[in-house]
Amino acid sequence: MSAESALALEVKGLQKTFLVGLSRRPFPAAQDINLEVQHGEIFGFLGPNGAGKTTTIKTLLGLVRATAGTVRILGLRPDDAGWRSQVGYMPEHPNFYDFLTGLEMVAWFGRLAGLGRHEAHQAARRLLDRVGLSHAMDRRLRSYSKGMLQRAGLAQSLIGAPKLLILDEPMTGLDPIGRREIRDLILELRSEGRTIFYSTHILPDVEMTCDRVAIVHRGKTVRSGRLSDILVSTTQGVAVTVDPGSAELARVLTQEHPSAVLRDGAIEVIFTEIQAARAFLTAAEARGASLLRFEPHRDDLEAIFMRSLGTLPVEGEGTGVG
Amino acid sequence: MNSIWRIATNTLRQTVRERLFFNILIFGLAMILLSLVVGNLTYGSIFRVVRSIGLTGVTLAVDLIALLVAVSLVHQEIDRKTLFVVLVRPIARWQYIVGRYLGLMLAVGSALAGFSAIYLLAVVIGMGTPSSKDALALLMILPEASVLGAFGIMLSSFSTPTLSAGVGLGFWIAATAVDDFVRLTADAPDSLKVLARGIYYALPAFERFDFRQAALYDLPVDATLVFSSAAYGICYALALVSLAALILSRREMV
Repeated sequence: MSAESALALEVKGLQKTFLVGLSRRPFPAAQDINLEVQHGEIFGFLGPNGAGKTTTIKTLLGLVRATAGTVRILGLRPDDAGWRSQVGYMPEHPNFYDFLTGLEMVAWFGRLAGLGRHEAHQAARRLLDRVGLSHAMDRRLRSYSKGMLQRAGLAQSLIGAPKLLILDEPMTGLDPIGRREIRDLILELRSEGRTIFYSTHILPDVEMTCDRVAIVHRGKTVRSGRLSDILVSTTQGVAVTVDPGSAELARVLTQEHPSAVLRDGAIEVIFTEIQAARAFLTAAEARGASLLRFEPHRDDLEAIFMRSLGTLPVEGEGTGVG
Repeated sequence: MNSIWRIATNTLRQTVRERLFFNILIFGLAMILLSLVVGNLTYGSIFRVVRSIGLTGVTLAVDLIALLVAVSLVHQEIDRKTLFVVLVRPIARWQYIVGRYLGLMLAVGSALAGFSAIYLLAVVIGMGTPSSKDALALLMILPEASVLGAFGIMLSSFSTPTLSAGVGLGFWIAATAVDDFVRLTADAPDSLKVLARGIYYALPAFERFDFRQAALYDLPVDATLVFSSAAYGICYALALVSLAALILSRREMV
């Protein structure tokens, strides 16, 4: 039963090969995807275009069948209907019935989710208000902007109070304010006890919201785990930032340490050994500089992401599937 | 059942807003008006001309709506990814197909009702008296359209609208001419006769639904033939809808 499942989502060794074109040429969209999503967490699914993110999501939702591997959603197989009333989904670039108003569309999906007419309309109003579309809920969808459609799609995914949300690129098409609002909403949803699994390229959003992440590249999971662990595991030495106090000392320090970076009047130098960092600090302070920061130096998520993508050899061109 | 009805009513709303639907409505109305104009130009038999052209126009328009709207009903939803969101909800793929088909037939039925009212008005204007045979000829368009609609939905579940429309029109012409083909090959070599019989059994015989001659010449109609023809059309349509559901249930949503 899904209620007893320890994991919200589980993918082990997922492989998916599409047969493309008239010649039925095999194209491996997923070759070895592995991930585990716990209940109540926000999980970021990262990867460049064509990495296999959408294929994985479609496989989880039973929209495509896995060629090999194990896939479970709320502990159930994708072809088991039992999870459907507990999962909300928003595809990338959602496109709904444009002759309906926002309110009608969300309420219609609510009815499909099993809500009564009144209940569906009430819930649709509440959700559209929550995603910032209360002013446009009675307008037809054909008059919505891309960002508004994205928000309406999110409201649609939330109707029926699903305990698991699967969002494919939810921030795409949103302006910075919209991104921030959706980020806040995702955090709110987690605080309500829901599980959120979303794919994205937008790394700052991941750093601000996700508990755990998986990075996929060319159909393979190349890195996964708690975001904090991943960031700590990439600690590479110590960063020392000092205020040189004078332009002359700044010039001397940057000459002595070619890797030094002068930023807003402060000098940051990165050392692989802590002893070297201490020696630099002692010498700088003796010359009149003052310490601003002495901290572990680690990659940000973007650097980790780029490094992860560089770990695999190029194996061929993609077809755009995935 | 509720999910099927929700999809059906949504499909009805979607269909009646289609430009194609509207254009074919105009075509059907033009045919009925044309029947009045041509009827007035014909000496002595205006109501017969109105019936002939009018019934043919209504048949063509209703059949075209059923086929040409159907061929994009499923494909369009896959193309726009709307179907992905629908199928993630607690609804089976066969329910989706049945809902789409039911919605299409509601739209087709509404169009037929509208055309019928205007046709019967045209008969009255043309100095004729609407008869039960007129009503029968109009009503029997529905099983024919239901077969075409089901064939269109079946094609739409795996093919593009353009290709489906081409194949669908070919199917329509062949199904209309299949009885003539059997008659024409009555004196042909055995191999051709076998081929004709094969085609006859594979394709629906649309001649079974054609009661225009009965309306035109007030011919007697066998009630058994009417019911068996209607049942034949419904069974054929159900078989095609089942096939569409089977195709969609096996299809991957790429």
